[in-house]
Amino acid sequence: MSSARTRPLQSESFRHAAMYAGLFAISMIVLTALVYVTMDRAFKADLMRASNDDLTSIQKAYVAGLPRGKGVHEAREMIEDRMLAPDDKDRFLLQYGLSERLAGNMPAMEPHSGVFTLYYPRDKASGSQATQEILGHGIFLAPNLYAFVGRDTFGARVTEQEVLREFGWILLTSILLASVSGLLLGRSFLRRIDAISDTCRSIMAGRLDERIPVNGGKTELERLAATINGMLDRIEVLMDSLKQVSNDIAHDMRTPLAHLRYSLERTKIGASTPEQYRAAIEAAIAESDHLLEMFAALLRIAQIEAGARRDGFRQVELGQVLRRAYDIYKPVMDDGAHPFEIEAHDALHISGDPQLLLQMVSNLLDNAAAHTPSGTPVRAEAISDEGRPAIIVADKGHGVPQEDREKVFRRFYRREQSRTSPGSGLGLSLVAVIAGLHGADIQVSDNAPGFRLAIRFPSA
Amino acid sequence: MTRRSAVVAVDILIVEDDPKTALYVTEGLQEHGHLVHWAMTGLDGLSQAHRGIHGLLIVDRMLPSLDGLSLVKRLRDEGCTIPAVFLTTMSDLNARVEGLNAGADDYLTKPFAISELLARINAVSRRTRRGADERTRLRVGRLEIDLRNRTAKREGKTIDLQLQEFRLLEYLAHNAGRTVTRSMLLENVWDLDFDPRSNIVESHISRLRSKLDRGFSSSMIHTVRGEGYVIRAN
Repeated sequence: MSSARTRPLQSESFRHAAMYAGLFAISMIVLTALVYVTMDRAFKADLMRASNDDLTSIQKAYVAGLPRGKGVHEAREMIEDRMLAPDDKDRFLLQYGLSERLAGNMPAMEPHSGVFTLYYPRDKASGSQATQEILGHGIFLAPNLYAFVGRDTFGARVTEQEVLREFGWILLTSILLASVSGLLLGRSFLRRIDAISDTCRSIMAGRLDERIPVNGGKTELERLAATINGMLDRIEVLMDSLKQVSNDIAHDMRTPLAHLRYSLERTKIGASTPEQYRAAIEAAIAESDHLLEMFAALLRIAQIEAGARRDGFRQVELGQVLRRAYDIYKPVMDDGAHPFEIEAHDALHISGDPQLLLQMVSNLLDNAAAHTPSGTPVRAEAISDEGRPAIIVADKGHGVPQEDREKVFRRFYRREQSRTSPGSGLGLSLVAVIAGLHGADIQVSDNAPGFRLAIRFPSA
Repeated sequence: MTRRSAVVAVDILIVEDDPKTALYVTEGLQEHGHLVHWAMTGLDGLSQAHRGIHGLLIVDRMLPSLDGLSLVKRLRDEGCTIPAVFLTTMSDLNARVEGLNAGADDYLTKPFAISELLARINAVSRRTRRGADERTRLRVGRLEIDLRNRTAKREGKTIDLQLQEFRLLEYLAHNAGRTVTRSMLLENVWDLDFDPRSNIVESHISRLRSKLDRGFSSSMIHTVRGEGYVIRAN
């Protein structure tokens, strides 16, 4: 079972966290580079300004000493003054010609003017293997007199590297934090997912009443869980009704089949004359016809439920349907001495199947004729009920008690009183299915006395 | 029960892949004086029908090699007008309409009674031989029916009929001397594709009968027990 589970490291949420950590790292690196470059620039600019100031002072001293013939001397004095300052990073050089050092704390070099960087091996004394890096500015005070002021940038480099290192640590820590929080998030996400798949698995194993635990939160997963639970509820209801129907079929079909078998068996044992055999055969044929009728009605219900006739929907006038039903049923009602009247309003248009609607009304009238005593008035209406086209069939018979009113639409449901009269117990189921196909709702009420059924269609 | 010989013996071709059904139908029809040939597949049925010797086709819908619907459609496309009756387990809500649209003259759903099939065969084979005169006037003995004015007279006495009653009488008279079944009446008079639980056919027949027979000693509409109704001259 655990192999079917997603481990945290493979989980979607962990992948997301890792991706975010990666993006974060890249932006940190870019940021570091920017900081480094900016810092380096600022530092060098500072350095340049200081070197320039010094160089200007040296030049001024030289120019000031020139009239007295002491230009070089003044320049050397100035450099030596500056060298007294305790900062050992400043480098000075006053050079005559190509190699003669007149003053300063760095070796003679090939003179050229402008800003440049010099690299020297570090002194043995400082014990370091790193090179000296001297950034400075050189000028010619006179054709053979060269002055250079610079600064060892080693310290700055160290600072810069420390900053880089700090950034490195920050980067590492944040990636680590992102990964850990990703893992933790992933695990809680996975726990919810596992709860859902556990539930699905136990439903697959047949425990249809299982539901995903919900805590009523508003997160996406909670909503998903609630939706799945709703779907499961619906499926369970449908499964139950299917189970109910199959049980009903098994039970209600078995009874007439058993009767058929008993009577055939009785005939085999007891019948002796051709007349007796003929009567038995006719009874058997009638019994099987009854069974076939039930099957046909069930098939029809199934086909209507599947929406087979919806393609044939067209504008139907409810009043016309009712008038047709009246023409067909008037003689039947007369035979049963039922006073039968209709009230059919005009212009009640709905979208529907005229044959099915006629069958729906017929079934209601069949019921009224079959389940009320002779002489009971029956009334049918096609009217507008609260703005909706409606068909109402009502009788003044014994009615149906409150507690049984919803049950009458169940397949094969027959109230005790009607068990002895012929019928399949499918008439009102068919009515409900046809109403459902047309998007209509059914209301059963007390006709005080009697049974009243109203079918209200959606307003056009 | 007495075995009647067929009113008109017809050479019938049954196209049916189930031998049990074919045997049941063949025996039933032969017993009533019809001549029956049998084809087991759609294509076999088509080639036999092409010979042009049969007077009526009984066709199953689901057949090997060529289904019944296509078989009838093809015959009609070729201009063949042989009466055709579908005999099938396909009882879809739209199946009957499909069958009739394909060009069949009637549609009967299995399971069925031989008497029902016989009644339909008689009606169909008669319908196709209907004379031009019959479109305006029907006569059964001394009963006269004017289809244009929707009036009926028995021995000169006008019978007051409502629309449904007139249509019922018209259908019976078209098939005078032949039994018509309950379901044939439901389909053709009331245009219903379902069978109501109430005895609407019986109720309407008894009404029509009493109107028709009022003032006369003999009844014209007879009940054939377990089969249907028939209108006769005497």
